[in-house]
Amino acid sequence: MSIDLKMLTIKRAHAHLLAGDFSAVELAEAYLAEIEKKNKNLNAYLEVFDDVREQAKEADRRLHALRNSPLIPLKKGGSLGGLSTGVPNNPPPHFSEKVGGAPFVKGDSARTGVVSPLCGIPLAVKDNILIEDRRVGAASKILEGYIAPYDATVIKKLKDAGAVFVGRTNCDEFAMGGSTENSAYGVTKNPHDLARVAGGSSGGSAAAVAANLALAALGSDTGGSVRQPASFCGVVGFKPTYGAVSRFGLIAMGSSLDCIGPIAKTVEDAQIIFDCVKGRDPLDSTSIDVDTKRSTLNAKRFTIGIPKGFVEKDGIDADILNNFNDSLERLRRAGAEIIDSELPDLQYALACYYIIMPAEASTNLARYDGVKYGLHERGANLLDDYLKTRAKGFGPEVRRRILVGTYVLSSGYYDAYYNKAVAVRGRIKAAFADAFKKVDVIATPTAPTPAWKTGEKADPLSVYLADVFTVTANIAGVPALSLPSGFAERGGKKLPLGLQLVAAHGREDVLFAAGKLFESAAERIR
Amino acid sequence: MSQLSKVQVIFFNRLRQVNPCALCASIKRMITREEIENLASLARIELGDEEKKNLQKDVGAILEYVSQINPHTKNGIAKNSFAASTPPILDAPEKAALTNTPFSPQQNDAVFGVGVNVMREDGEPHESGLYTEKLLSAAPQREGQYIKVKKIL
Repeated sequence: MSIDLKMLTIKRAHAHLLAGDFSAVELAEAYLAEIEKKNKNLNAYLEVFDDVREQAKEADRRLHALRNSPLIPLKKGGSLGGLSTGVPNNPPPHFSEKVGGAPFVKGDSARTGVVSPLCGIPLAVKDNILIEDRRVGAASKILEGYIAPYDATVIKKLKDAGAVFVGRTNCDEFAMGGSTENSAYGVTKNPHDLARVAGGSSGGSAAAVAANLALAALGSDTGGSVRQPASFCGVVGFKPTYGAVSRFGLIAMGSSLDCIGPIAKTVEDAQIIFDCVKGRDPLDSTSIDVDTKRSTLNAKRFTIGIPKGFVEKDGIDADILNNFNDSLERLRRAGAEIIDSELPDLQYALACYYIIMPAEASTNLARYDGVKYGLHERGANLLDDYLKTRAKGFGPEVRRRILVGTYVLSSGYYDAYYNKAVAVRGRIKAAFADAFKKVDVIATPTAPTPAWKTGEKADPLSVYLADVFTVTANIAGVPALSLPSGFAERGGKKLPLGLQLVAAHGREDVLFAAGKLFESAAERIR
Repeated sequence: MSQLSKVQVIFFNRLRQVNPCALCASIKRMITREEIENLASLARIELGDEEKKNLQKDVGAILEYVSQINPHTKNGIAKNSFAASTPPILDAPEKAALTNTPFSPQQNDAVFGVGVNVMREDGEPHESGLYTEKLLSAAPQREGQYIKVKKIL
């Protein structure tokens, strides 16, 4: 069967794989062929792994074992319909039969039942997530040649599920940026308009999904780095509650802000990945368990809060505002009640972020000294080694942020900047907690503009301002989702726009439910 | 200032809203060259002359923007300013002593913005040498079972 990559989602691919319509190897080869055609131009992948077919073969072996094993009784409490979620009690519909009234499922009994919906699914991984024995470098010259000595927890979980890792994707250096222009290996182009950026910092991951070079991807989100490129490229980007996904094996930038999140074509796909990688990890003391099974979201009547004053600050792009209002209309039709949710402290979130994040990054990047790994530049003495290695290995944006971070943490300024920012952060967290007592989700546009032209924003501060809507969720530690919401026309090209939904701490369930409602509402008017 | 991009307009408008004097101050104020050199030295990064100049401008602009959360950065905190009204950072013992707050412990954390440290018991270390080769093989300069560095003292 010839594979139409455009129509695929993880859910559909899983059904096809189980039905034997195509194999995991054929699926992987379809993506490899597409990469062969497009990656040179897009620069989404820094490296395509040379063993993709072998990984897919292993996934096929699991699928084969599933198809050929005897029926085993379904455990009590399992459901028949819906997707297998990697948990034994949720088999896919193809492989369950009712036998004598009790549901049975074909399963590889040695493997306790079923295959994960991610088995055989080709994924792209951002270049700051460690996969054992493979190159990784945070798109920086300072980690040139570095081979990951261990798997990140998210990778280990995806390996257990049988996912296929296609390659590592381009990003802004050390995840610092909003366009992937700060990569040491060139910018990633936006598949919708090659003259424009794919967004950042997870630009490669977003472009890969948008251009059908992977079925889904992993990115990291510290200030919007999963959501904003997803918005620029017209795909779904999800940032979990801080701690819901382990950061073990993620190259750290801002440790109190970093979140690993999926970029995918649909909310359901994002949820499938999240369900696989979430959970408390003894190797990450900041990780927590989040319960996604409950959903108190009443589909007939849910409330959405809009921080109107914040969104409509003068200067916001007119197309963004129109599209945002269109999105609100769709949500109304889906049953939402839209109310005003003023959060006055939100206006300080960006300043707060650009104090805390550089501060934490300056600390986290102190380890890159040319001694333990990566680039080593010869100096006259040890100190000179450091000075030269870091000067040569770090790009301009990284150096900028390290200096800002050093400043706000230095004696004399620590109280005025860093401590003040932490206090403001506390207020923003409280403001969100308070707002979510009255509303289910808060909505804003994902970004104040569509994707800009490569090289257009020479002033670093102007790039920071594009994070104005996304940093709030990282500051508060709450989950947020960016959904493709339409297009803006620029120079004859249609540039994707995104709607951002934010939910309360730990309420991924509400977010996914609201996201799915928006998706189905959006389709209704086409 | 003839052709400002839309985003630059937002930037200046925000500054105007927060601090009426900042608009003029922001364009002219730069961090000094000495301050940049000091920061670079602290951060162990060698900078060229051209870069120092650019960083003066860029870092200066960034600091100017983020200073809005503390309008009276250089001169101490004015009594009625936003900065003065933010809640203090409390240590764990101080927080524990706050039994009379209207907030639950979770809300306390939300309000005061400080998380709780999660510790684990000291356990048995893993078998010696398990990861040695993997880690050492990454070092740019190595001698046997040692990472080689230049003289420290």
